[in-house]
Amino acid sequence: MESRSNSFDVIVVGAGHAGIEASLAPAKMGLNVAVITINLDNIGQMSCNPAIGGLAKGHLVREIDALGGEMGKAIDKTGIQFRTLNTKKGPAVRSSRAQADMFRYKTYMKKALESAENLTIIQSMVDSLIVKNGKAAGVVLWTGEELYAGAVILTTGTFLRGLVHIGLFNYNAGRAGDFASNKLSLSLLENGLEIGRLKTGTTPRLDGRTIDFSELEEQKGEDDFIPFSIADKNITNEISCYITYTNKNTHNIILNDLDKSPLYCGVIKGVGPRYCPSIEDKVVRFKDKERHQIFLERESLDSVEFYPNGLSTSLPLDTQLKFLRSIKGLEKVKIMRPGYAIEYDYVLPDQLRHSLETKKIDGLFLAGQINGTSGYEEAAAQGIIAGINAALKLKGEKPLILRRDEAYIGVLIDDLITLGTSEPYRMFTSRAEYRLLLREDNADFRLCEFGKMVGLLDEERYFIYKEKLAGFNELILFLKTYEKGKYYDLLKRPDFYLENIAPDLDKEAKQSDKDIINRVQLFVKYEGYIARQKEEIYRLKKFDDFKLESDMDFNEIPGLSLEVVEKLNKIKPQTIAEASRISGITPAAVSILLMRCRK
Amino acid sequence: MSSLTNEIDTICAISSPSGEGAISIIRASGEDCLHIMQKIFKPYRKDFSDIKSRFLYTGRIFDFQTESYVDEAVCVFIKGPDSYTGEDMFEIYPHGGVFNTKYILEIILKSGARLAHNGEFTKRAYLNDKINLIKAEAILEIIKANSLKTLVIANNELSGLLEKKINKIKEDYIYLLASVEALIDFPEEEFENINADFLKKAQDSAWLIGGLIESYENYELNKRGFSVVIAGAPNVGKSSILNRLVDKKRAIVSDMPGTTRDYIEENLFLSNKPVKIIDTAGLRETDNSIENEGIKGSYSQIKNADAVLYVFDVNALEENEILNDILLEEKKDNLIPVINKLDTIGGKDLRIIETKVMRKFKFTNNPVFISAKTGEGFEAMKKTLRDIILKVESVVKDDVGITTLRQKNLLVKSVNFLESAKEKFKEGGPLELISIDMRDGINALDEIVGGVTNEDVLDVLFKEFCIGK
Repeated sequence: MESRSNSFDVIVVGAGHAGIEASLAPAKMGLNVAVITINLDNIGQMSCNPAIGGLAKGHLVREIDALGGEMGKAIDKTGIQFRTLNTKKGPAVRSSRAQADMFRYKTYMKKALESAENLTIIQSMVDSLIVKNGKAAGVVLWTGEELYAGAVILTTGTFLRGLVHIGLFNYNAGRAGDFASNKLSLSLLENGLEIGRLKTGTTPRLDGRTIDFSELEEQKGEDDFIPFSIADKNITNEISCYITYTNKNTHNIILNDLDKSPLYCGVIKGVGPRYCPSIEDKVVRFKDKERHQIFLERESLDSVEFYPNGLSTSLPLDTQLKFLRSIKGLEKVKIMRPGYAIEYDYVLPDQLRHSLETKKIDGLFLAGQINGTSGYEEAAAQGIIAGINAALKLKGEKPLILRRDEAYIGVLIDDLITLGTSEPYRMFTSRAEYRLLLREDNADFRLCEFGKMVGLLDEERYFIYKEKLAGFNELILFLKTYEKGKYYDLLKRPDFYLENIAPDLDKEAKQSDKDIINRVQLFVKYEGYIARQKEEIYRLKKFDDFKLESDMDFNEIPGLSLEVVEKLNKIKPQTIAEASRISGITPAAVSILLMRCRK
Repeated sequence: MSSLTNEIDTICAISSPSGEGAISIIRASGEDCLHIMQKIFKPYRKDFSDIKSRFLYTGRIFDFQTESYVDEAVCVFIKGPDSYTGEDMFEIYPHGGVFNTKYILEIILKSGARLAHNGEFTKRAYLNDKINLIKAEAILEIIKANSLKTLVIANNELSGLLEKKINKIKEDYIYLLASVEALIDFPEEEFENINADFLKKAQDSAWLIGGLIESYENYELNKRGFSVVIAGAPNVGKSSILNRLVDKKRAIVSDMPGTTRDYIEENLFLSNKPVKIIDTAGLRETDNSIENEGIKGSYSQIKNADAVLYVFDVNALEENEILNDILLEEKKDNLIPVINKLDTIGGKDLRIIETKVMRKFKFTNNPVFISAKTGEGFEAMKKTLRDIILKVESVVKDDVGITTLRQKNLLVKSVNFLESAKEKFKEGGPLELISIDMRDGINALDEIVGGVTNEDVLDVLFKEFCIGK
C-alpha cells in the first residue's frame, strides 16, 4: 500500500505494555500503524515490579493471549521464575505469576514490534492532538511535524505532566530517567476531556551483591507450571525469590522521618492506590502490625539489581537506606536506584465507551494508566481492546465488547466506565461476579473465537485451542459414560482427583495432556455452582434487554435524586444493567428506571 | 400505552372509609392537581392564585356541569416532591355524607383525573423514591394494627429502625465477605486474625438474624390477637361466662347440657389487647355424632389457645375428667381453673373445694371462684387472665422486628447461606464458594429492604392496600 510517510491508519502514542498490544493488534489486522515513543530503548519497560501475572492479573494475561496478544508469549520466553498463587485455595482463584528478566522482556518486545508488518516505530514526543470536526485526525510532534491517521490511541502511562518525588525533592519526569510529556494534557483539556491526577510509587532497587541471603526464606519456582500462552510448551525456572520482614525498628525509623515524606506533608496531591500502599502508609495505617513481608526479586540475569517487593516509598534517600538496613539480610545493603513516588494526569474513564473510544472525540481511543488503571496486565488488556476496536472502526465493523461474564477484560472495562475511579484501579478476582466461570484454565475456551473473529488470533494458537477443546469434550464424554459415569460423579466431591480415585484411568488418560485433565476436573467440580451463576447471568441479562434511549434526559424522570440524575446524564448508560452498576446509583433508582422503561 | 404516561396521569380516590361520617377525605395525586383543584374549588375571600402549598383553605365545591355549588369544604394543595407520593397532590375534606362525597369524586374524575387503583398512591410514593419496600409494608401493617404492640412494631419499621437493624447485619455480612476476598486476592499477605474472627462474627450474625426471624412469630401472635378458650364439661356455664364477659347475649344458654355444639367467638379488649374469647362445646362421652364433631372441635380449639378458662360446676367437680392429660400438660401454665356457680353453694368452705381440685388435677394456677349469674369473681378472673397475657407478651422484648412472611422467608434464605458459608469455612472449603454463599446471603438481605425485586412481590404488596392509600 502506497501512503505518504506522515499518514497512517492508526497512530499509537506510547510503547509501554498498553501501547505494544495497541499497535500490534491493528498492524496484525492489516492496518498501517505508527507507534510513537519518547525512548526507543524503553519499549515494554517494567517501571515497577519485574513480574507479570499475579492474582487476577494472571487471568488477564491468558485472556490477552487468547485474543491474539503478545504479553503471554513474551513472559513465557523471558521469565526466570514461575509460580501458581493460591494453590491451597479453590482452583477458580488460582493465578499464575512470573518473575521477568526485565531486560530480556524489553528486548523481546522491541523485537516483536520490529518484526511486525505494517508497523512504523518512531522515537518522538507528542505535544497535541489534531481534532477535526470532533474527530481525531492525527498528532503534532514536539519537533513540529504533523502525523495523520484515522484513529489515535493514547497509552501515555505516567508520562502526562509526570512529577517524580523523592522526599521533598521533586522533578519532572515520565518515570525516573525519562522525559515527562508536559503539553499533551492541555490538548486533551482543550478538546473537552476531564482530567484528574493520580499517584503511584515504586521501591528502591538494591545491589544484590550487598544482600545476605543465607538466613532468608527461599521461594522456588514450579517446573510443572502451565505456560501463559497456549502456543508455548514449557518454561524455565532460573532463580529463586527470598522473603524477609520489616520489624519494629524499621517502623520507628519510618515514623521518625514522616515529616520528610511528600505524602505526609501535603506535597503530593494525587490519589494513590489503597491496595498497594507505600511502606510509610502501611506503617501508619496498620500500627498494630509488627512486621510486613518483603519479597526480594531479582530484576535480570544480566544484572545484580534486586526489587524489594513491598517497600514502595517516597521518603528521602538517606531514610530509605536507614530503614532498609534495619531489615534482616539487608544490614549492609546498598541502594542503586532510589524508590520514588510519581504523580501524573489521567483522563476520567467515565468519558469512554466500552470500545475504549472517547465519547467526545470520535476515533480517539485511550488505554492503560491514562484511564486510571495500574499494572502492566491491566494496561495490556486495554491496549489490545483499544487496538482491535480502532481497527474494527476503520474497517467499518462493530466494536468488540466483552461482557462481564465472558472475561476479566470485560469486568475491567465495564468497571472503569460505569464506576469511574479515583485511585489507580487494579484487577481483583473479587471484582468479577462470575469468577467461577472466568478461570485462567479456560481463557482460550472463552475468548479464542473472538480473537479469530476479529482477525487477530494467529492460525497456530487457534489450532491449539481447537485441539484442546476437542480433547476436553472427549474426556468429559468418556467420564460421563465410563462405568455409568461413576468417576464423573466422584470428581464432584471437593477432595477427589483423578490421580487418587483412578490412578489407572489417570494413566490411560495421559494421552490428553495434564492441562486437559485439570480443566475437566475443575469443570466437573464447579458444574453446580457454575449453573447457579449462569442462572444469575440469565436473570441479569434481562436487565440488559431494557435499553435506555441514548438521548434520554434523566432530569425528566421524577423520583431520581439530583446526584443520581447527574451521574446518569454524564455516563448515559445504554441499558438498565449498565445503570445498575454505576456507583451511587441506588437499587431504588434502578427500580424507578425499570418501571419507567417497562412496556 | 407505555407506563410512563400511565404513571404521570392524575389519580383520585376517596380515602375515608365508606359510609356516613362527619367528614370525608378525597385525595388526588399527579400533574393536573392544581388545574383540577382550580376548576372545582372556590376559596372564600381569596383568589385561587393566592393559594399556597400546605395551607388549609375553606371554600365551596363548584360543579362545572350544572354550574352550581354542591358543598362547602376544606381543601389543601401539596406541591411535589414534598408530598406523600412525591407528586403534586390535593386533598378535599367535604361533609361526610355518602352521596355528596361520591358526587365530588365524580366531578374530579370528569375534570381529567382517573380513579386510583388499589394502593396506587403508595406505589407512586415508592416509584418516586419517597419510601422503600419495607416502609410500604410498614404502612400496610399500621393500617392493620390491632394492638398497641403491633402498632409500635409496625411504626418502628416505618421509622427505619428495622431497616437500620437489617443494614447493620448486612454490614457484618459484607465484613465477612471482605475477609474472604482478602484471603483470596492477597495470598501473600499475612492475615493472622481472619481465621479466628470469621466463625465468631458469622455466629454473631446468625444469632442476630435468628432473633429477627423469631420476632415474626411474636408479631404474628400479637397480630392474631390473644385467644382464650372457655372449656369444660357440659352445662358448667361456659356460655354464660362468655355472655357476661362480652356483656351481651351472644351464646344461647339453656339448662340442657350440650346446647353449644359448635364454638362461638367474641372479641373484647383486655389491657389494650384484642382478645378473642371462644366458647366451646362441652367435653363428654356421647353417642350423638353431631355433638361429637363439636367436641373434637373443642379439643383443637384448646390446643391452639393462648389461654384456657377451664370451667367446673362447683357442685359437680367430679364430672370434669374428660380433658386429656397431654393437653393439660401442654397448657398448664396458661390454664385458669374457673369454678362457677358460686351463687349456689351457700356457706361451703371454698378452701376445701380448692384443695380438692388442686389435688386432683395438679394445676399450676390457683382456681378462681365466680358466678356467671351474679358476676361475682369476674374481676379477679380478668386480672388472672391479664397476668397471663402480660407473661406471654413479655417474651417479645424488642419492639423492632419483622412483620411480613416475605421478610421472614428472605431472612431464612439469608441465614441458610450464612450457615452454609460457615460450614465450608470450618472444613477449609474453597473460599470462592464461600464467597458465593455470602453474596447470595447479602442479596437476600438487600431484597428485604427493596433492592431490585421481582415485580410480583410489588403487585401483591400494593394490591393489599385499600384504594386511596
